[in-house]
Amino acid sequence: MNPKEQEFEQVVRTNKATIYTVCYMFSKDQDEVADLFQECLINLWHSWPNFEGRSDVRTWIYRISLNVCVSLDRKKRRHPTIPLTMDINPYEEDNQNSRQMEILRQRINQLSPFDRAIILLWLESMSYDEIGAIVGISAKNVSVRLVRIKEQLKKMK
Amino acid sequence: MDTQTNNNIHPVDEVDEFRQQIAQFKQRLDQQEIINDRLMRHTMNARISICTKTNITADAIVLLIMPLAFWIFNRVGISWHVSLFVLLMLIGELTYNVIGHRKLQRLFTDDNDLLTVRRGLLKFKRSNRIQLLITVPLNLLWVLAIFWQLGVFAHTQELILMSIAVFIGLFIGFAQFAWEMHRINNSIREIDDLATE
Repeated sequence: MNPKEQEFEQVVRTNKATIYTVCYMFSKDQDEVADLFQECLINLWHSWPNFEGRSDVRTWIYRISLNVCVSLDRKKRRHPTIPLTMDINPYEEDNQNSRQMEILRQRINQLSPFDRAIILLWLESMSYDEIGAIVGISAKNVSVRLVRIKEQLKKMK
Repeated sequence: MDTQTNNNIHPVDEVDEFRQQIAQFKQRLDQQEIINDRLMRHTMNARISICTKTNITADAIVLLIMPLAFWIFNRVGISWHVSLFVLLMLIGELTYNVIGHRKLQRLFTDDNDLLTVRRGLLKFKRSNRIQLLITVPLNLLWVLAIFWQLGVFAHTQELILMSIAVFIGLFIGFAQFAWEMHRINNSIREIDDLATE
């Protein structure tokens, strides 16, 4: 592996939980998560030479991952999927944490793709400015929209 | 019932709790390996694939058809004017597809925000619609030219059969077009909604 590849591998391994969480929130089962996760990694790898470090690496990862999850047509399998190395399956686990995460995922899945992205970034404790920069709208617009999304989420039972 | 009452008194409590759940979920994920060496190797060797296999296959078929069509036209006595017209149309469509998909790939790898990518996708789909509106009449034109040169118009049975084939082709094309328009309209609604707030 050359230094460029090593650096990339380090970055994605450090941020694997972030990439997985985005894919999880936009998928319906573990196979789809693996498929999206792989597609995100491929897009991140191809985008890596263009990343000049002007924005935070986390912002860059969110942008690419969300673009893949929101914009790509899920029905078209683009690459043979390589299984992820995991001992947990949040869709099928029967513990309190997984059940709650599954409820959250199901509710978020009822939102429009943009709203899903906004609430996900807010749940990750990002500032309105950061969310706006990733989604492409103003911080004020983010705050207005978040109030509406939270109300929507509360009404879902 | 209790949860409902509680929600009414503290409207954001439950949503705030979701933040803690996400943090715990990510902590658990951090303990997992997730990315194995095989996946890493595959990632670094894979070509970006915004372009689906269907697109690649369609372009490859067009490339193969070009010399074959030219040869068949020559054998059955189609004039070089019509042959050249068909050939130029196929080259034009192929070039347009390749350029379009290259632009699309850049859209995804250029660190763009979500709205920019969605707008780009919308533009791509709109240009596909324009391409279809231009190519359908042109395709009809060359089909009619070939009919005429083959003398199909003088034989009723052949004319009916070939007309049915053309009609089926057009029907499939328009059905696909209508479905694409439906999807574009949904995207427009979503983007307009965000832009007007």
